Amino acid sequence: MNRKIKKVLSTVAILLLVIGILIIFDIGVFTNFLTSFKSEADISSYPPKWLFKPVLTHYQHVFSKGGYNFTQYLTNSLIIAIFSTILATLISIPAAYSIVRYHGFGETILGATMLLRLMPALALAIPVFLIFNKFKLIDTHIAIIFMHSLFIIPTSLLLFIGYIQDLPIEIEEAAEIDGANTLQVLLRILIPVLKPGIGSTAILGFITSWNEYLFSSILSFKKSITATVGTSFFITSYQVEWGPMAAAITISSIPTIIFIFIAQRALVRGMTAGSVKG
Amino acid sequence: MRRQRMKYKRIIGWLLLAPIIIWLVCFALAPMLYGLRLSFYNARITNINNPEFIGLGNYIKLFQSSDFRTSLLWSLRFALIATTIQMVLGVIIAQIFNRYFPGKTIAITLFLLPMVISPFLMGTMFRLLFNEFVGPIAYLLSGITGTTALLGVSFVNSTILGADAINRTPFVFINVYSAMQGVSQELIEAAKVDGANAVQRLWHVTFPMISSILRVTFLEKLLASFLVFELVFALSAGGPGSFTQSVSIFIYRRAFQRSDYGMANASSFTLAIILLIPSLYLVRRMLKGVK
Repeated sequence: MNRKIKKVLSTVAILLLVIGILIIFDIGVFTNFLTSFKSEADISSYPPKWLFKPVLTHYQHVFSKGGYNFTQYLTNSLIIAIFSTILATLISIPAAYSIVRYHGFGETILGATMLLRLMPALALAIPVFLIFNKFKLIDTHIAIIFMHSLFIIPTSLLLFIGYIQDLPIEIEEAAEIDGANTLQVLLRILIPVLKPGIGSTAILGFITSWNEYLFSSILSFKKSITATVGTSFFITSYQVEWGPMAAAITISSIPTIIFIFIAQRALVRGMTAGSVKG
Repeated sequence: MRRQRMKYKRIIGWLLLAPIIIWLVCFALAPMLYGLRLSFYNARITNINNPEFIGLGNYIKLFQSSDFRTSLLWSLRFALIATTIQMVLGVIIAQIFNRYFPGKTIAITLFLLPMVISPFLMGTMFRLLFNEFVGPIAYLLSGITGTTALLGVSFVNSTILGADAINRTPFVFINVYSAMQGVSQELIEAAKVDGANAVQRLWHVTFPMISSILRVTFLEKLLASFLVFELVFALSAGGPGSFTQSVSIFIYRRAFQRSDYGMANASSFTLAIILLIPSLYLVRRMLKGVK
């Protein structure tokens, strides 16, 4: 009996500790969420109110404010995230296949992409800005798509290498004996088996692109502005519109929040790719 | 016949790599070389098509600039403190989570939430929450700090460290936690039987087993914190003044506010050279892990 009580008490203690940790780490996201539903008066009340009558005015404002085209920003983010992920996947799968099955020069390429991930982003951002400027590619979707795909590639490559290493080579060899060429092996055998892997890698790619700020911001000024970049437009030299800003942040973080709940395993595997095995 | 097959195989290997090579050359190598070239020129937005060659001029100016030195020191200090805090927190929290308790799955998801949200959005969010006049968290913390001016000179560094810890500790946590799951429970039980307490078990049993992951995580975190940009840019924009100007913000300001592209490129290449050796070490470790 005594032991049982002790066990219950220790579980309660752990739970309290965990709840405390979660409050500290999630209070920011949560409070921002609350702020987006506060009226103007409630936002500036001092001390801050934790109980208030929720209003939707900021959400309406975000979508209807003159000169602030949030629907377009969200569409841009979506287009850019989808296409950069597709591009990165198309580039990474053959490369990963070559690295696992053909060896040779592939390892140098792998090393180069990983080095790229660790180098200062600005060493790339400044020249890229100048070059795209020269080619009149600033403020186009394609410019941001190219650069985002470059950032998605290192992680995708690592993940695909892992997936392909787990596949038995015998199936491919059997297909080759039956006369299938490499392209057929890739399309008919590899891609179907890799489908779940492609899905989770794509989720990670999507998030990487959706969250990216530096390149999205310097490569856009009007037509190709993404949602993440757009959230900062509520801060001007005259005033800061806290309510709409909180609403815009909440909307912009919805995709990531959905994905962490439905695909946590995939996200974690991607974000720790490379370092865990180290 | 066999030789021809080998040759054929090699060609296929290259063809499969062709897209990624084109990508790396076009969007990474070429821009970087262009940037490196510009670092030897006086390149402004006005003369960008016809910049003036000044040799090592930018680099000399850079090393004499106290602004650059200050920002380099700020980043170095930030990287060391932030990484230490996050490693300690990450290990402690991983240790707390490394047992059964009800609701564990959802607790892990909620704990990882700040990691998946964009650091830029996180920074913007905290800019509101830490605001001197309307920030609810600034108000909550004012009981401890005695002021709500958490983005003012006396507290802004701690505020950034706190925001970064919330954003990035989950990354350390998940690395350490996955590693801890690999440590055999039998070993820990055996130590328990031998009378080792929780701290001793962590120190003498768990740590030696996960030391290589701790090292890699530490180094990766250190490099990332040293280059911190989006979070600080959104939260304090390097201010007040240049008080929290990380080295990345220094470069950003040179390039996109003063449009002094030569100098900005010179600084980013200096940075790349500083980071090259630890980065190469990390890449080698990762390559070993992949094999």
